[in-house]
Formats: sequence, C-alpha cells, structure tokens
Amino acid sequence: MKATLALALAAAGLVGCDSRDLQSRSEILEYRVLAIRADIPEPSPDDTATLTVVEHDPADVDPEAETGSPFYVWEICPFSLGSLAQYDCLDPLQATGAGPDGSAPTPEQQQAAGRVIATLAELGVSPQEAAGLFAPDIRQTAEGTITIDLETVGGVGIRGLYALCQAIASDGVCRSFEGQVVLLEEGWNLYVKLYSGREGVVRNDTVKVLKVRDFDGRNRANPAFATLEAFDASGAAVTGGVPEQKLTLKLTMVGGSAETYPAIQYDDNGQPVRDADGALVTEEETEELLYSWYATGGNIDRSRTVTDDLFDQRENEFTLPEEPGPVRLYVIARDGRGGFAVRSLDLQVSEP
Amino acid sequence: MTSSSRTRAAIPSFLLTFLFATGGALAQDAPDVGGDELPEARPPAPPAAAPGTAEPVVVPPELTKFVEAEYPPEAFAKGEGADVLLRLTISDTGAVDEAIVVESGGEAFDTAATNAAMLFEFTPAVIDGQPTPVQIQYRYRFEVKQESTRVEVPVDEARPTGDLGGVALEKGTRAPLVGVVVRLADGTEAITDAQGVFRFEKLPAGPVVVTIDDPTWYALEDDEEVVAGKLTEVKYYLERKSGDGASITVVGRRVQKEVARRTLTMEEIRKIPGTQGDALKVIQNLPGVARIPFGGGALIIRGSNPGDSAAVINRHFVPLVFHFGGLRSVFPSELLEDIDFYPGNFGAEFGRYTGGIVDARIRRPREDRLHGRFEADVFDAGVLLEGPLHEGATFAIAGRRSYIDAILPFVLPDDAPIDFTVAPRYYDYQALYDYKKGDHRLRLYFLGSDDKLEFLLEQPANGDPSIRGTLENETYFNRLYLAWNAAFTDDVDHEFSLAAGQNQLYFAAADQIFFLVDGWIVTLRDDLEVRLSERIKLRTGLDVEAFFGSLNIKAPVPPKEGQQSPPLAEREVLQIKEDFFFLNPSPWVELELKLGDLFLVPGFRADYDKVLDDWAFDPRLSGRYDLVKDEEGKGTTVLKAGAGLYSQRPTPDESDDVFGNPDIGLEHSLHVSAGFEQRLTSAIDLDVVGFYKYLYDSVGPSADPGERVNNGTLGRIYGMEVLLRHNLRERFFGWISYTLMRSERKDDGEDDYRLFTLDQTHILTMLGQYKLTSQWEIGLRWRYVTGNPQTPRQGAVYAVDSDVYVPYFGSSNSERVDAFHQLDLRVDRRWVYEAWILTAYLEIQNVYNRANPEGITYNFDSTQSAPLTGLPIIPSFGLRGEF
Repeated sequence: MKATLALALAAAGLVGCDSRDLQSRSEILEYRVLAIRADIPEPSPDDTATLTVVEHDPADVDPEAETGSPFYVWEICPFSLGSLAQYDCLDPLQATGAGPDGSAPTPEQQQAAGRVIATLAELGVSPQEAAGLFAPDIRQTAEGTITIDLETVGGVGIRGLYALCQAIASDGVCRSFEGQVVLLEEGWNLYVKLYSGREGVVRNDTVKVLKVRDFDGRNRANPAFATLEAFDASGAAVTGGVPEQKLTLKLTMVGGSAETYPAIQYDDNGQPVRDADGALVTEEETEELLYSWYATGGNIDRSRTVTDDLFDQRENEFTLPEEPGPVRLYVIARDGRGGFAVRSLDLQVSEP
Repeated sequence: MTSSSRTRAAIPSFLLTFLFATGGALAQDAPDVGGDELPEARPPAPPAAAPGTAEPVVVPPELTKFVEAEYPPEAFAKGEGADVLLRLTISDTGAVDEAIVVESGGEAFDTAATNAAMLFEFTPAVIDGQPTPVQIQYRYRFEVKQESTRVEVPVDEARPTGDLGGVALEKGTRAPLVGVVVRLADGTEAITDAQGVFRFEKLPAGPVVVTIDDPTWYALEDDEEVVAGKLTEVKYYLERKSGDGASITVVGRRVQKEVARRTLTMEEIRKIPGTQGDALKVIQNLPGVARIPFGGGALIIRGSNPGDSAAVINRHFVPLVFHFGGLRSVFPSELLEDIDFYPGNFGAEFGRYTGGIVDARIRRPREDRLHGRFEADVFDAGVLLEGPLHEGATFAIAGRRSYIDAILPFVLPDDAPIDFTVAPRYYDYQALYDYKKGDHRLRLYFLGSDDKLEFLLEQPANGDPSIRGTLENETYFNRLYLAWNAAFTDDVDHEFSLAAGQNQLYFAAADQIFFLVDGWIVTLRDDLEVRLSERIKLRTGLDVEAFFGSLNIKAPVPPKEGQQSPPLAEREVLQIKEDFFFLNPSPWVELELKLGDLFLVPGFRADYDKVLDDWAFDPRLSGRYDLVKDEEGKGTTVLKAGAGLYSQRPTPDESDDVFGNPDIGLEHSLHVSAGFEQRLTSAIDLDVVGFYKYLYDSVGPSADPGERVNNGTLGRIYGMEVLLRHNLRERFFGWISYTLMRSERKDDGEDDYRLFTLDQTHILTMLGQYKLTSQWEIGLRWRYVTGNPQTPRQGAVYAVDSDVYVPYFGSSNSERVDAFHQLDLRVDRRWVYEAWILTAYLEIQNVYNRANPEGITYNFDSTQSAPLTGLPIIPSFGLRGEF
C-alpha cells in the first residue's frame, strides 16, 4: 500500500530520486534495437512468420560514428522458462547433469526433469530425442531477418508442442511456468531471443514473444503510420529549427491500425468461459496503441503515449538539441497483439 | 462552628506531597506485603531529586475516587472523633491492594477507615517512567462537628466577619491539588481536601493575604477581600514546578520475566524526535529493530521478515498498524498506556509469529473529570474526549482525519502527470467504555481505520507501460473489543477478551491487477492466573483466531524475500476468487517459579492450523537471576537467558493452490538469547543481550520448477543488542541503542547462505530529550545504520512486445549501499493557561540534509546506476491543546 502512495507521489513529482544523470530511454546514443516486427504479427500454427529487426544504427545519421560488423544471433525456444528465468530455454537434460554447462543439478531439479523425461518416455521419446525436441533453434544471420516455419518448430510444430505440454501436465491442462492455463486459441508463446549489435562495439539482448494463435485468423495486420510531422510554435510544419527550439510532434495512423478482435473471456478463477456447446466465449475488443518516442538528440517530453479508452495522445513535445546538426526521431507503435509500426523523422538543427 | 452534621471526613493527612516534602516524617517501614509482584518494601525515598542527581523521578499517585467512611454510629452519637493512620498499597493500576492500620483510632474507626480506603482509586504512581506499585500513608480523620478544611479563626465579637473559601487546581489540567496548605498572613492555615477545596470561616472582614507555598508548585500570593456576612469564593491555579514530584515508597514493579522486554511510557514516546509523537514509530529506535527505507512503518525485528512480527493491541491482532504503510499509527498514542516490545524469546501467551511482538495496551480513560485534547500537524488533526460516565465507568471517544487531500492540490505542480480522483486520505476512530466494580472490570471498545487513494496516471509509467490509467487502493478495518476481568479470589485472576470485526483490502491497477480481500476476523483469549503458592504462579489460556471471508485476486505471483521480479508487463497474471476460513486455536501454559534469586518461567504453547492441518508444539523457557542486589534486595546485576521454539503459518498466498503450494506446513524458529542488566546508577541502566535465531521450514522459492514455494528455506540470525538508557528524569531522558547483527537466508537448492534483504550490521540510535525550562524542551536523535544489501543488475534483455527491459540480476543481496546517518531535532514550547495547556512543536528531520542512499536506481536498460536517495531536510510542526 505504501508503494502505491509512493508511486502516486513520485508520479506527482513530490518525491523522487537523483537519477538526472542517467540516460533516459528515449535518448538514443548508440546502436539499439527498437522493435522486432513480425509478419504476420499473430500467426496461426500453420503459418510461416518473418521477423525483422527494427534498429537504430548511429552510422545511419552520422557517417563518422564508430561502428563494426553487424551480427544477429537468433535463438528460438520451443519451451521457454519465461521472464522469471530471463527467457532461458527449458533443457531437461541439464537438470540430469548432462546439460551443456555440466552443472550439478539439485535433487529437486533432477526430480522435475525426471518427471518430464518419464512422461516423454511414455510418449515414446527417448532422452536423446527429448534433447533435440527441447533444444533451441539457433541461427546466425548477417541481416536482421529470419523466417520461422511454425509447423516444424521443435521438430513437431506448434501443435505438436502444445499436445506435448498437455501430455506432460498431470491433469492434461497445459500451463505456463507461472501456472496460467495455456490455450492454443489464446496463443502459444514462442520465445525468440536475439543477440545483435556491432562486433566489438555493442550488443543488445532482445526477446520477442511470437504469439501463435489458433483462432479465426481475422484482423492480424501490423498497424501503420500515415504521417509523423514536426510543427513550430506558429503551427507551421518544419524540418528543423534552431538549437533548443521547442517543436510539437504529431502523428497520424492509417485507418484500421487499431483492430477489433475476439477476446476470450475468463471467469473469476482465471478459467476460460465456454458456452453450452463447449465453445469459448469471446467479446469483441479494440486494440490500444502504445507509442514509444525516441530521439538521437534533444529532449522528448514524454517517452510513451497511448491511444486507448481514456486518452488519445498522438502529440508530443520535443526540444531540439543544443548543438547544430542532424537529429533523428523514431516513433514505434504497438498494438498489444504483436503488431508493430515504425516511423522516423529527420530534423536539422541549424545555427541560430 | 458551622457544621453539626456528619460530614464527609476530610483528609488533611492525605498529604502525599506534604509527607514527602517533609522528608517522610510520618512514613514508617513498610510491612512485607508478600507475593512475587510486590516482593519487597523500601523505606520512603527522600524528597524529589534535584536536577542532575541520580534519584528516580517519581510521579505520585493522585486520589481520583474518594469514598466516605461510614462513621461509627456510637461514636457519632457521642460526638467522638479519631484519626486512623493507614498504610495503603497502591497497585500499578491505581487500585488499593491493601490497607493496614499503622496508628489505630479505635477498632470501629479502624474498620470504617480501612473499608473506605480499600475502595479508593488513584492514578498509578510512575517511577522511572513506569507505573509502579507504591505504598503511601494516609490519615483518615473522623470529625463530627468540623470539616477539616474549615478553619475557624478566633472571633472578635466586635468585628464583623465573613468566610473565605475556594479551590486550588493545577494550572492547565485543572486537577485538584490535594493536601496543599493555604495560609493567611496571620498564620492561619487550611488544607485542601481531595477536591482541592479549602475554607476559612469567620474571618475578620477586610483585606487578607493568601499564600500557597509548596515545594511542588510555584508559590502563589494573592490579596482577597473578606466581606462581612458573606462567603468570598476564590479559585487558584498553581503551576507545577518543572519535573517536581514527590517521593514515594516503591514496593515493587511489574514482574520482568522475559529476557528482553522493553517498555516505553507515553511521556517518553511523545517527545522522541523524528517520530511525530507516534508510539509505534518509537519502537524503531530500540535495539534489534532495523531501519526501514524512507521511514516506512514495517517492523523488521532481529532480522526477521516484516510478516514474521506482529503488533497487537491488548494482545489482539490488528491487520494494520500504520496509515499508508508508515505515515501514522492507526491508533492514537494518547490512548495507550504503554507499549511492551519483545524482540524475541517472548512468553507462551504470544504465538503465531516467529519474529517479535509489539504489544500496545489501551489505558483506562480518565475518571476524575472531563478531559479533551486536540492535535494537528501537517498530515492530520485529531480530537479526544474522555471522562467519567457513571459510577465506576469511564469513556473516551477519539477520531482523526488526514488533510493531505486538501493540501495536495496546492502543492502539486500544474503539469504533474497524475490526477487524483481521491487524494490520499485516512481516518481512524475509537470509542472506549471501561467499567469497574469491585473485583470486576468490563471494557468495551470499538475502533477502526480507513485509508483510501485513487488516482489517474495520465501517461504510462516510465519503467513499465502496463502501469497506466486508474490506480485505486483502500484499506479498511474495524473491531469491536470486549474484555472482562475478574479477581475471583486474591490468588485467582481471570480475563476473557473477544475482538471481532471486518478487514478489507482493495487494490486495483487499471485492469491489470486486482486484489480484494474481504473478511471477518474473530480473536478470542481466555486467560487464567492462579497463585499456587508464594513461589509458584500458574498462567494458562486459550488463544483462538478465526478468519472467514472471500478473496478475489488477479495478480502475478508476488516475489519472495530475496527474489527479484521482472516488470509487471512481463509477468503472467493469475486469478482466483474463493471463500476462505482459517481457524487457529492455541492453548498455552506457563509457570512462574521464584527460587530464591532465580526466577524461572517454563512455558508451552500448541498452535493448530486448520487449513494446513498442522500442529506446532513449542516449549519455551526463560530465566533471570539476581547476581547482585542492592540494600533493598532489588537486583542491580541481573543475568538472564531464554530459549524456545516459535511457529507461524505461511501467508495465505503461499498456501494457496494457485499462487503457492497447498502442501506446505507451518514455519518454525528457534530463539536463544542470553544477557545481563546492570543498574549503573539509579538513573542509568545497561541492558546487553546476545541472541541467535534459527529459522527452519520457512517458506521460500522452491528449486523444483514444478512448485512455486516449499518449506525449504533456512535462516540464521545472530548478534548483540545494547541499550544504555537514562530513565526519565525531571529534565532529561534518553538512550543509546546499538545492534550488531547478521541475518542470512538459504533458499531451497542453494548451497550457501546469502544476506537477508534488510540485513543491517550496525544499527546505532542515540536520542535524548531535555527540558530547558517548564516551557521549552528540546530533543535530538541521531542514527547510523549500515546500508541495506542490494541485488546488482548486470544489464537487461529488451522485451519488445511490452516495451520493457527485464534486468539480468546478479547474486541476491550481494552488494550494499552506503551507510545511513541522520540527525533529527524537535523543539516543544508549552503555554499553560488556567484551564488548558497549549503545546506547539517544530520537528526537523534530516537536519544536515544528508543524501542518504536508500537503494540504487538504474537507467532504462540497467547499464547505468545512481544512488536512490532518501528524504531531504523536512521541517514539520504541530499544535496540541488539552484540558
């Protein structure tokens, strides 16, 4: 409860901490992954998905910026331990002492791994075969793009993995590692980790949750920007200004960027609601768009804004840098269902 | 001679003040009153100590209920009078435990005086800040024709005469001054009675000079005019001299049987800097208690988790101790009698917690007359009204409400990204009824508290965009408390108490998190105390706790102590809605054995948890040995030790099948402690305790990915506590508290122990309060505390879908922030008016504005860090008016 009050007062600016010298999230100073865009954003288990990195490379704005060879290492986890374990892939063999790091397992780990392996054995899968089943799919690429055939992930595809999860569960209900019921209609979380950057300069660790959803398949497009413009105090559109000049940024989205979709309903105990025929009960909901703002210099007033039931925040304030030169702005739009859009805007800061 | 009726026996010899001011001339050796709690008597102490001497400060008992003796009919018929000198033993509650005739006035008078005196009621004597049993001498005078406060002056028939009468009251409190000598210039004297009334009759008409010159009070001299044939009525208000008090005969203190029970009196509590006079916050200044970052209100006692310790009121559990987690206690300090703090090794009457206990006891409302109090500071304002209701009954009603919600709009920046729908506000309320008749006492209390906060975040939180929209929080509880005490015989005491009420905790963060616990709680205690012999006392009881209600939760699994948690947006949210019923009956038994200089308390407690279907059987033993005693037979060097087992149930979420593990059992701990107490002077005590606490079967994260938690966490806590305390004197009190401690945990599957999240190696508190004059007081508190452990971050992985960075955490609690030190100052100014007292105070926290590190803050991807600093210098002020 005190945390609530502290949060309220912190948000109100009444209490705080001395973090003024720390880099803010909207301030881009070096290579950074801004998003991983999926086409299709919420694929079905029978689709092939293409993932593309959305990144900022300082060399794009400043040709003299220090840079190195780009690298991209992708790691696709058929089963992931999720955020509590930094998205590591489940590796039952590691718990038996045969894992890649050779660490000695605890009795509890052996017990847990033993249960999984025993269940797999009942399904006719040997420990060695299980190792292949759970092993992450690691790919090194020169470009920031991969394609994933969801019918063959883990060797058995998403549908196979889901069936395996149900089989391993003692009550036949597939659950995540935090205990939440997993429905293929709601989405199977395929975790894709990306280690990317510039050799010898910088590395970013990124994780993309590709929600593979076996449902009606409608409205699964990425949102799209229509415009992103800067305006000065007189309301005129500008492509730059003088140092420390304040500008207003305005964006517009292509119509239909916020899609409606059938949302599965859950009861008070977190169980999915079904009708008399056993079909899942759904309600139409509309996506909420979250905008993340970045700049390679100057100061963005709000690092995130939203368009949802309460707010329509498609404007932001921007103060140009103190020094003349180019500055690039990015806005990433997220629809909350795996959809992304990116738009950049280059501005020039001139001598006053 | 004006009175021929059988008049109320005045009490010119109830001269506590007079007696002691004259060196206790009438005092005699106290008899052996027997019993362990009143083991020994000592000769009367000398008059009140002068400043700087080492004599104890004493606040004498004041007679609050006088009972007229039945005049022996035969003697009355014959017009006979008599004086009976009694020695009264007054308990630490103010009741008269014993009345012994010291000088007989004849059998009939002795009996009448004794019977009446046994029904007197006093305010308890306070010595060294503690209510203390004392003996006083009391002369009961039987007179037929003359009221003793009425002094006749030789009459000059030729001159017209008039009467002069009135009342002498304490300035500010309006308490009657009893036994004070009122003099006229010609040496004529009258002595005030129990109501402070005095009277001179048949004085020659004309001017008179009235003086009151008493050691306890500032002298008064007044010119009055006696009018022929009339009564001139006067009212005198006398101001008490700074710290003056009468010496009284100490016959015993409340039995100290625990290894470490520390008692604070309200007089001390009110003036400790940095606590806003809040009783429960003062606990944080005692040894064994860790400092909470940002002044929070949790109790981290001897390295235990906050939930492992409890604050109880009259030994009954309350769900909430502080408003908004630390701003203010939910119960007004002025209605507390005192607070006992048990950092460990507490007796069998307490259980269900493996850490420590804070036991706050509500006092009996005052019964001499109506009293009121108003108090206001920067956070809130409160009122209290108390007084007698009917014969034997007193009442108190009190309430408090914050006005942060009224102030906040004026201090909130216009561009603040927050919009309060309900700005932070809290209130609490209390109604007390206390009835005494004979050996029975009935108490009926109703109390409650409500905290509410609701606001709209107008943009997504910087670190976690899923936190946005409306945030709501309301915490509410009420209790109806009933207690019946009865002394069936001199050796058998019984207390039955029952508390029942509602708890409600509600929290919602947009549609992401929802938490509603709506329950009823009934706690019942039935305690029996039987003195089996002079050396053996049996104490036993039944302590039952029952909760029932419903909960509706949609939230991620809360992290356990030492665990780090990803941002909310990356957590899976679980949901439950269910009814619950907890029943925990706990019988306990304890013996108090006095074996010469050794005092032993073996005890045993059994705790049953219905939900877990698990029993705990906890034997306990503590002992004290008077190694060196003073001439009065009181221990000046006392050795003490204790050992025992303690158990508690896991939190409800830990035993829940969705959020936790329904197969877990009770948690346990072993407490071992030993130490000594040394009375260095009559004013200064040293208390040193070494302790070891072993936690086993504690609930923590499981190494098995298939279960969230299990009973596999271990803990070890060891250290030493030192308390050097200068007890309350007329001008000064203070203490130095030092704790050297290490608290560690080892979770399931881990090979090594790690530091507890709030492990603090050194905790030093030095505080003192000095009365400069009767109007001005100043207090200082300085604290030095080792910085809290931190779990470092080593970068982060960017979760692009939720737009948050999930930190890579290093070894749990493997680093520390710099030490904390801070000076707080408090100045009180008091204005005493005839009928009321006004006090204003200024409190400055963090006087030298140190930027104390309370933690570490990181940039968005955990590649940069900076100290998270605490509160800067904060002045605050308050006012208190009382009558």
